[in-house]
Amino acid sequence: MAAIIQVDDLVKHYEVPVREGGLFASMRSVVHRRHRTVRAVEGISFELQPGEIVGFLGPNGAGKTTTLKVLSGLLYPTSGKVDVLGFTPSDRRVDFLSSVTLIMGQRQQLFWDLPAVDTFLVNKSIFGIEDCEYAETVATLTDLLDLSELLEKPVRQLSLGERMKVELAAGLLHRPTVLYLDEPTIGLDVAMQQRIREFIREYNKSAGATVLLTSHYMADVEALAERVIVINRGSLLYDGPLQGLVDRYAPHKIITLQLERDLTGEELAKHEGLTVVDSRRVKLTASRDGIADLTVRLVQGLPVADVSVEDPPLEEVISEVFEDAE
Amino acid sequence: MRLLSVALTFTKVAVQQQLAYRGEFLGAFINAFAVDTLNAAVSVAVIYAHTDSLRGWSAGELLVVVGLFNVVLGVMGTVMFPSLSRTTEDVYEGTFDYVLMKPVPSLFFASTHYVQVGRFVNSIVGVVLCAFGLFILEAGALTWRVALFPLMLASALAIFYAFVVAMTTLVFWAVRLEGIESMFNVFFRTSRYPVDIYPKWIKGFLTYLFPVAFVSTVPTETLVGRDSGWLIAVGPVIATIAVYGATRFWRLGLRRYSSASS
Repeated sequence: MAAIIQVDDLVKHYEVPVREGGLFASMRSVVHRRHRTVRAVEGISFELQPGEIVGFLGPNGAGKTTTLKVLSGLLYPTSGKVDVLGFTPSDRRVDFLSSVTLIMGQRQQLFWDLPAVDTFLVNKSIFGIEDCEYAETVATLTDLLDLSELLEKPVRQLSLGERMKVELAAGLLHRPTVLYLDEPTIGLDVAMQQRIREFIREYNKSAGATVLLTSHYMADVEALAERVIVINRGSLLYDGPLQGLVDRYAPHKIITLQLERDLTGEELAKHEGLTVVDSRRVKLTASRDGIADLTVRLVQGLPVADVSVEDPPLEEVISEVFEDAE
Repeated sequence: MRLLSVALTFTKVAVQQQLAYRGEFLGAFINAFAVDTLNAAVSVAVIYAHTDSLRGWSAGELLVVVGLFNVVLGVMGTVMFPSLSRTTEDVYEGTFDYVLMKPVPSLFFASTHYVQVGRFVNSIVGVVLCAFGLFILEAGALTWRVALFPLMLASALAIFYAFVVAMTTLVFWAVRLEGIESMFNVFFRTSRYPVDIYPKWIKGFLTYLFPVAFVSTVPTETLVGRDSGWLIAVGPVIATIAVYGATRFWRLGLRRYSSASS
């Protein structure tokens, strides 16, 4: 199948003025501005297939948002080629803009003083959405996101989570097939995060939409994305299945033992690397090779009530990836 | 057609909102009325209590100038000024990205998306002042030039609009604009009076460099039958150049935004 999004050797540099402290330096900077080049993206390439949900990961300042903005057509690439749905995003063609959406968890498009339904009407008119299609879309979104109580209230009266739901709806009224979601769950409580996640998956399925998602919450990525792209300092570190990332960067697993009683000092000393988590619970980090033998030995040698063997939390894997890159 | 319907939606939404906050609406209404309209009308009354003619301008003629200034101010203050001022905030806060994601021309969106209904009172009172001025003048003296009046008024709006756009575009380079805005307001408000009353060098400045002469003086001249000479032809030319230049400048600003921001 042809790729929906194709990025070839994308580079994005931009200049920022250098501000120095002190009165004299500030006065000098009025006449003589000094600039520093920020190398936000340094030649990355990837492709997205139709209907994929891909997690886009990297530490702050890695170039994620810059890349999303280039893919949205907001920024011109410094060099390299970007193709989305057959368009060059920075041309900002009407057909392109009508098929994509960019939703940023930290910035809102809703009119602050107005009920959300007014922003909806504005978007309806801007995207030239027909009445019946609009009614249908709003009904579906209201149903999926549970918006019925929220649309008539002024946006400023909504809670952060409610606002995010309405924000998502506002960005999807024109039924885009490519979604760029930049931190869509930021600042939300766990239940609301889950709600938003379910919605994104639902929309992806029903609309066959392609989704590129950044998030600091690994739970988002684990729940939604089978594939992840990891960048750091503008360069691509990893592109592949989420499990492959764990296998490559976390060649160890965590064994947790639930015990029938507390261990004696002697027992603890006998098994190297055991850490006590809390009463009657101990943890051990072990390499993947020979994990089965080790588990058997532990179960036989200790008063074990229950045992679990898990991958380390994705947060740890990710920080491993970045440390590795340094 | 599509853009017109978008603009109507913006207006509808704004009317609904501002009627919901009646206090604010009334505040804007009173503010517009007191600061610009009443102020101007009182100045005219004070001036002509002492003299019959101000550099050749009679009370009736001056009322028409003041009226036209208010008509233009009303239109700009209702749509372009609040919208473009919101746009500078959008750029500052990063929400301008959402403007650029919309499939309508960005300058259209930036110039129309926020309507301040109460400000339109300026235009209404402006029309009343014009009518009153013409009544005092016993406007039988209307000449063929009156036919040019709509063109002159359109030029006035276009020139003013172009300047506001150009000023707003500066936001792509220097995110904070307060100083420039107040300077602009000072210059623009000089068009409350005919440019003839200012010293010659200021008149030259206000005609060619910062052409507020075309906002009220020249349209009034066409309306009341004063001879403004070849300036009648210059107005539309300046308007065309100004709008073209402002649009180009806006595009340059967008280019800068797209290549220099993160």
